[in-house]
Amino acid sequence: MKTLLRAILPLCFVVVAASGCADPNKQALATSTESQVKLRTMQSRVFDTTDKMTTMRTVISTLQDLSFVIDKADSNLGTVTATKLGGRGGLRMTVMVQPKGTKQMRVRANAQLGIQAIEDPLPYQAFFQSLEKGMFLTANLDE
Amino acid sequence: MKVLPQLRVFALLLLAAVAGGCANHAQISKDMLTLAPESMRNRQLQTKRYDTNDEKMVLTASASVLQDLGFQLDESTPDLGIIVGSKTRDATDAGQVTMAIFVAALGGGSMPIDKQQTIRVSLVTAPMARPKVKSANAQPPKKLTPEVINAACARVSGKLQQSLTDEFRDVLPVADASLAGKALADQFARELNGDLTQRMKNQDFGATRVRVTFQRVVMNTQGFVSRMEALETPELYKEFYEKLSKSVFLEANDI
Repeated sequence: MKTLLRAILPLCFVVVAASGCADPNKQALATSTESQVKLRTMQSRVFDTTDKMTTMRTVISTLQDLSFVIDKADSNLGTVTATKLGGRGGLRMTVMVQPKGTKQMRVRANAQLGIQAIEDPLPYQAFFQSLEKGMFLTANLDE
Repeated sequence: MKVLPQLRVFALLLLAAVAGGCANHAQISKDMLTLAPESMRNRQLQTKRYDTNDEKMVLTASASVLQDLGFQLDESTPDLGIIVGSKTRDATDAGQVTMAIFVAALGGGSMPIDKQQTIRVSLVTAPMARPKVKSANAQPPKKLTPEVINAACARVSGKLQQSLTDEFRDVLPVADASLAGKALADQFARELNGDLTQRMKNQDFGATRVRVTFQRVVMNTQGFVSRMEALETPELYKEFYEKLSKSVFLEANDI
């Protein structure tokens, strides 16, 4: 009896913990496991340009180079949303382009793979590396 | 007490699976956000260049082609040159149906088969700028449009008619002088209009590129997504751009 209890008890914990995960209120407002500032830092890069439209177009063509399909874009708000199929239920990404001061543009990206937010710096580094390539091409080859 | 070591192993395995899943999650996303070696090939496959700077015209022509192909337009952002469309079609595959019947006949119950697919298309146009003008004070070429040409011709014709009529007044009756002045001025305006229009058509304004991507999501008879994939057959893109080239030509010539 005692052994049975011992076996069941951890299971109960798992069930309780798992049901805690699905609390809709917590899910909607859950920022992340990372601190807000840290998250913003790893999701953002600043570029030395004042041209919002060109930056947005470069973001779009970079996403296309990465085999994303553009879902929607808004030039007023500066947002682009795109999806890449494959992996675990697809990678969905929203990129926002906003002026930072008068001489720079800030690009912020956030992504989720399947039903899980990406909070690791490496994927964002990879994305911005691709974007930097695109920004360089735009600036220098005028493509 | 005997259960405990097994539980411990189980817990460890669970932990490993969770941790492994996390690491894998980051790795998969990183791979998905890194430029693949074939990205350049895909870019070439999916992109076509048109020798016009009229991005709106190319976008309109693209929207028409998508409609020709039976797509519903879901989103459009003309200032960024984006059109997103989709269509839902039958995805029943004869091979799968045969297989399902075979399984059912053997008593395997009903096997889900592909039922319908949603094909999504996203099309992006972008201006391809010409080489930058090097010197700082170089003027960009003056843009000719039918409106600009008409206005210029009207101005010149008015001035010309006035001065011709004044000149003719010495040698001709007043009514004849104004008639002759008008006729000559009109003829000149027509010629000027023709010349400028010809020039407008020949002027190189740059180019516009179009990049299109297709993907499809297949649902089976149980309502589950059975397949999600990007469509990357070269023939598909070739055929699409053949249609678009025709459409751009028709649009450019107002047909």
